[in-house]
This record gives sequence, structure tokens and C-alpha cells, in this order.
Amino acid sequence: MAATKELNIIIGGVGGQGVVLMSELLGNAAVRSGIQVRGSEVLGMAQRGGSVFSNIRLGHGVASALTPEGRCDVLIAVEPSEALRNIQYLGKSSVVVVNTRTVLPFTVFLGKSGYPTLKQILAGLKKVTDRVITVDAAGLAEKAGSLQSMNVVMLGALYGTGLVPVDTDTAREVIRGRFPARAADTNLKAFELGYKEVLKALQKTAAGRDS
Amino acid sequence: MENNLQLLSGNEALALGAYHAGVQLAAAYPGTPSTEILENLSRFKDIYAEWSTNEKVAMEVAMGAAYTGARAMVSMKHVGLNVASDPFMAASITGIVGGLVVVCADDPQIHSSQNEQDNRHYARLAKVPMLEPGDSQDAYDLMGYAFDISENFDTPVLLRTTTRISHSKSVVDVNRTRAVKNQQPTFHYNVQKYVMLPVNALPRHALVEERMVKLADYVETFPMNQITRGSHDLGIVTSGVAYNYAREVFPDASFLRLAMTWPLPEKMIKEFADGVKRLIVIEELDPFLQDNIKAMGIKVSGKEFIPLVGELNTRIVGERSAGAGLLPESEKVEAMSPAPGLPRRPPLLCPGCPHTGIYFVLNSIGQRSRLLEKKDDGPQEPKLIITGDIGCYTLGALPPLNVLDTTACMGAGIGQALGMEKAGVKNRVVAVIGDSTFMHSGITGLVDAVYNDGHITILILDNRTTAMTGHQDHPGTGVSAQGQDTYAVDIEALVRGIGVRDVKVVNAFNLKEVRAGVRDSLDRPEVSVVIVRGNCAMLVRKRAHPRVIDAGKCDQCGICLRLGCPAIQSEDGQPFIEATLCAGDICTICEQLCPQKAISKSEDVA
Repeated sequence: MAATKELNIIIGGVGGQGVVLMSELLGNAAVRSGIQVRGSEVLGMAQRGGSVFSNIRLGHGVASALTPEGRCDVLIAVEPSEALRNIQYLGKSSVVVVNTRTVLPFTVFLGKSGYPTLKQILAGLKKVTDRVITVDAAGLAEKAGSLQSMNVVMLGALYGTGLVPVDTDTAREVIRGRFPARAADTNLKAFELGYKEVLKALQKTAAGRDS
Repeated sequence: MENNLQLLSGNEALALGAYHAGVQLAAAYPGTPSTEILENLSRFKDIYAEWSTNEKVAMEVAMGAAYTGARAMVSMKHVGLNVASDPFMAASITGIVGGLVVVCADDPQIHSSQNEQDNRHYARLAKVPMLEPGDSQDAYDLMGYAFDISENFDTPVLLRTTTRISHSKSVVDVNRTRAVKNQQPTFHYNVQKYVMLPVNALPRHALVEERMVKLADYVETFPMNQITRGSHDLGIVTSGVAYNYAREVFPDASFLRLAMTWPLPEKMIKEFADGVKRLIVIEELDPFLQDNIKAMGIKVSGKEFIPLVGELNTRIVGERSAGAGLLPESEKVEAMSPAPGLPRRPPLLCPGCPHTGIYFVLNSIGQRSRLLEKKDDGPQEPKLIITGDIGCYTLGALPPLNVLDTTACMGAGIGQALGMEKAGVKNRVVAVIGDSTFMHSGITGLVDAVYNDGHITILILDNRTTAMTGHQDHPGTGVSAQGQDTYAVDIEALVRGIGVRDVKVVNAFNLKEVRAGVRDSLDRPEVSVVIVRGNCAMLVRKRAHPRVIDAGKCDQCGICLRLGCPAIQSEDGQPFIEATLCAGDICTICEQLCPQKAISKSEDVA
């Protein structure tokens, strides 16, 4: 196994959004690249609308399958409020990618709790790190051909950060191998759209800093 | 790239490890976090795998197979071993012939259980060897040792995992292949070994004690118990998942990492302790290692600062160790607490769930919403007492349905209901139990209620599957664990056979029928059973014609929201149905319920 620097990735979302599949696609691509992987999921009765939390830790020195608080390098929030739910894992230099499409919890309909606005969510995150990127993953997924590919848009977005030590061709191979042909095409398209979106956002930020 | 590297969960690794170790028979009852072990094994068609009625039966099936020389395995969640403890103790005293491995998956943090008991105590109680993996590689490797130890020492072996091991993934070097002995299983007459009459059992106990002495010798050389020499200032004894956290917090300390944790390697521990200035134990839940090391006369600490309750993690181990002066305070990870005021996402019954209708009926007949309203008014007495059980339907205890008064353990609801009635409560008592749980351990409770002339109502919520753990088959479904068509035990005939005279079967998706059935049963001075039948929506997965709410007809009474259906949502007081979630034609409970007839079929075929 190649000695790789420690990289802690957390994916937060809601049951039914395909978070577990995302971590499977990421984990298998990392194993193919000879990288040590440890991962753990908290499903919280995911099938039934609960929060889902998955963390994938890459690197040789990693012993525990759980990312310690404050040590997350990349947080991918497939649902915006789930980014805040995992804020304790963030540090000053963490990168956060937030899907802007919300899934309101039932407690909101019962009037038992409120749902923060996207502005509040982003402001909360920016108190910890200024490296926050938003992605309209639902829109991009529809552009790719299926709303269901929202999770793979977000996987592409993760690779777009440039932090994952896995070749994007390997990532694509794993996606292609995981789905039947037609779905694979949609998902590969979804991957590209998410990838480019974040790449673009980062270039803009970099340009903004230079000027 | 090496092809034999696979990213496996702990449970996948246990299954593959057992398969490669030549397991010939596997039995289990589903239970989080152990379920996937048998699910993975059942895919190998050259072995026999079954879902058993309950863990006790699973243990007995595996025991029988082991008596014939076959390698057998039984897997269950921690509380399953409570159910199976009787044959487990028996297997310890008779011993085996073919290897018998008992996998139990504990659930620290109670992710999905009713308690967080530490099953390592069972190894000591039953006087059997115990192995504890720390990751998927360990799980795979230890399974090979488990069968060998079992056969070499004539004993069942307890392999104890936890949620965090079972459900975490890590890379496994799959370095073995299946080597089957393929001998014809044969049972040899041996009354002294297998018939535990007092005259045979007492000498067997002596053999068990001899076995422990031999195992105590063996464990001193067990290759997966490892010492890593680091600083002499601090020595840490640890096992299972706790090792990973301890290692991250104390990269420079000396470690004794135990993979075989019963019996303990006393010489090895003493030698390790002698080489360090301070000895601590880092372990999850009870001070199992710590107390036993103390009993060796060794000075050791651990649970004085490591919590007894809940899962550990790197932060907890770090903070607590800093608090105990083992780490400089400056090394503490400065962690934020989770953001406050976030909307909770409690688990819900699914759209189209067959439990929704019956629970709404129980909520209204029992005037259960009042219990919530008067929460601060001192103790409340429910009009209808509803004892619950373990399954998806336990979620009905939460708002807005709020229909359960108790949930203890598998099958407990029926006995509890009878006990309340016999104690003399004035209110009618209803027990709610699922089909799989009824098979598991509801039947004996029902026999008791009939025999003792109970006046209780028992609702069997028959969704035709073991839903909570991910839709496993059970004796009532007519399909085996390996996907074969088989006999289906007929719940109605079974209940009648026990002697219940009033047995009704109602359609879970017909609100009128459900309400009439329950009302009729509540009036009867006898044991009355209502089988509320409707397929689990997650199994049917047929969505057609999602319902829509006509905002013109709707008077915003909000009764549809009280179903707790995730598809029924509201915006500024106006309820609407999320078409992508609604189960449509298979359900229609909200349509039947709406007093304004404002809910109807949409023309859109989902």
C-alpha cells in the first residue's frame, strides 16, 4: 500500500440521497489506487428519512474508522442543513461543498422545529472556514439526465476540490463498473458536471485572490 | 495492484472468513448490527444458511451440526445472545466435534437496540474462549483461528464484534481460499458427552475447567495478541475498536493489543506491565479487561477516566486522558459542539407503511394525543394501555402517532399486557407485535394468555417480512434465507391452534375495517387477536397515482398530518402531498381519512 498523507472526507446527507453509494464509489476507487482506506457510516435508520453520515479516511497512518472532531479535510453536504449537523468535524482549512437542494424534515411540518435559511447555513459554516463552495447538484443532475444522479454530481464535486489523491480516470472506471450501461452514462455525465462546477468555483476564488 | 485486496465491512469480512474457514452451516436471526453476516453467507450456494425462528433455535441448529463434525456458525446481535444463552451454556459443557463459532455483535452507543450490554462477560460466564477483531482484516483472520481453536479445545468460541467494527469498512488482504474437508457429517453415540443428566454433567464441568487451563496456556502464544514497544512511561492494554482510538491518541506509548480476550494471557500481561511505569486499559463499555487484570494483582487504571457509557472515539479518549493527566492539556482537540437548533430528523414510518392506519386508529381510540398535550400535568393514565415490541412499529411510540406505552425486548409485549391485566388495571390492555417478532418469541406469550384466561387484545402487524433489519424472510413468508420457496407458517391457523377463539384478519390499508376490528376486539372478555395484514411498502415498491390535496376543498384541519406520513407535508398551514414520496394506490389511508374529501388520485401515474 502506498504511503499517502492522511485525508479525512465526510459525506453528510439524508436517507435516500445515495450517500452510502458515494462512499462505496470513493472507497473502491481509492483501494484500486493502492491507498489505505477506512470508512464508517452512521445510518440513523436511513431508509426512514434520518440523517446519514459517512466518513472515509485515506492514508497509511489512519487507525480509527471515525474522523476525529476538527480534523475533517473535505465535507460534502448532499443536504445543506446536514453540513451544519457535522460542523464539529471542521477545522480552519476544511473545504465544504454544499448542495443547495434542501430536504425538509418532518418535524418542520409539525411545527416542532424550524429550518435554517441557506444564508444562515453558509454563515454558520464560514465562522469556521472560508472555503465553502455551493453547488446546485439537483439542477446539474437533471442536466445529466436524472435527478437521482445528484449524489454522483456531489462525488464529482468532491474530486473537483483536487484534494482526493485518486486519478479521476480511476473514479470514472469505478462508476462505469457499478451501473448498467445507460445509467453509467448518466452518472458519468453527472460526475463531469459536478467536477467542473467546483473546479470553476475554485478558479474564480483563486482569480479573486490574485486581483 | 494486488487483486486480493478488498474493501470490506467487518460483517462482510466475518462472512468471507468463515466461508474460507470451511463453514458448512450458518444460522441466525436478523438483528442490527449483525444481520449482514448471514446475508453474505447465504449467497454461497455450497453451504447451508438459514434464518432461524430466533437466536435460541439458531444456536441449537448450529450445535446439532457441530455435533456431526460439520463446521457451524451462528450470528446474532448482543441481546440475541440473551435469548440463545441457554443452549450456549449447554454447548460449552457438552463441547462440540466440528468447530462452532458464535458471533455476537454488541451495540455500544445503542445505535439500534434496547440496551448496550457488554457481552464479553458471556465468555467468562460460559467458560469459552473469546476473540475480538479491531477491523475488517482482524475479522477475516480471526475467523480462521476461531474454528481451529473450537476444534482443538472441544469448545464453542465466542467472536465478539461491535457496531463500529461490523459496519466500518477497511482494506482486507483476502489471503485464503476455501479448503473444505468435505467429510460426510456423522454423529457418534456418546451419552457421556451429549446427554446432560446430572451424572454426566458434573464430570463434563470438570473437563470444562481443564479446558480453561489449557486455553490459558494457549493464549500466551496466540499470534494475534501483540506487544508494540514504545515509551516505557505508559503501557496501554486494549482490544477491539478501542485500540484504534488509543493508537491515534498515544502514538508513542507501549501497547498490548489483545485479539483473544478470554482467557487472558496472564504471563504476557504481567511481563508487559513490568516493562512500563504506568499501566492503563482503554476499552469500551465495562471494565472487563481492567477488572480481570486487577484480579491478577497488577496495578492498573482505566474506567476511572474512560466512560462506561456509549461508544468511544479519538476525541473522548484524548479528552479523558488529558483530564487524567496522561496528556498535556494543550494536546486536547479543540472541537466545536454540533450546531444548535437544527431540525431533528427522527426516523418515521415510510410512505405507504401498513402500520400507519392501525396506529392512527389506536391513537384516536386511545385518545393518545391528549397524553402529549398534558405532558407537564403530572403522571398520565392512558385510556388504552398499549404494550409494544421490537421492530419498525416501535417508531409508533414517537409523535405524532404516540401509540406505545412499553418496549422492552423481543416478544415482551404480550406477557406485559397480561401482567397488567392480571394485576388489575381498569383499562383495556392491547399488545402490538410484528409478524417476525411474533414468530421469534410472541407465540409462548400468547399460549400463556390463552391458558391463563387473559382478557387482552393482541394486534399482530403482519407486513410479511422482517422490515426493520432490512427485509429478511421469516417462517411466515414462504421463502428461505437462500431464496428458495419453502413452507409458510400460517399465523392465523397457528393462533387458532393455540386456542384463541376470536381471530380476525383485517386489511391494513382499509381504515374502516381496521377500526371496526379493533373496536370489536376491545369489547370482548377473552384473548382476542387481530392480524393486521398489509405488505411492507419497501417490499412492494409499486408507486402509482400519488394522491393530491385539493387546496380548494381542504379546510386545513391538519388531521392528515397526524398520520406522520413523510409524503404529507405543509407550507404555511396548507398541507400538500409530495408526489415523489407518496406510495399512491397501494395505500390511500389519507384519502380515506380526510373529512373534507379533499384528497384524491392524481392522473399522473408517478
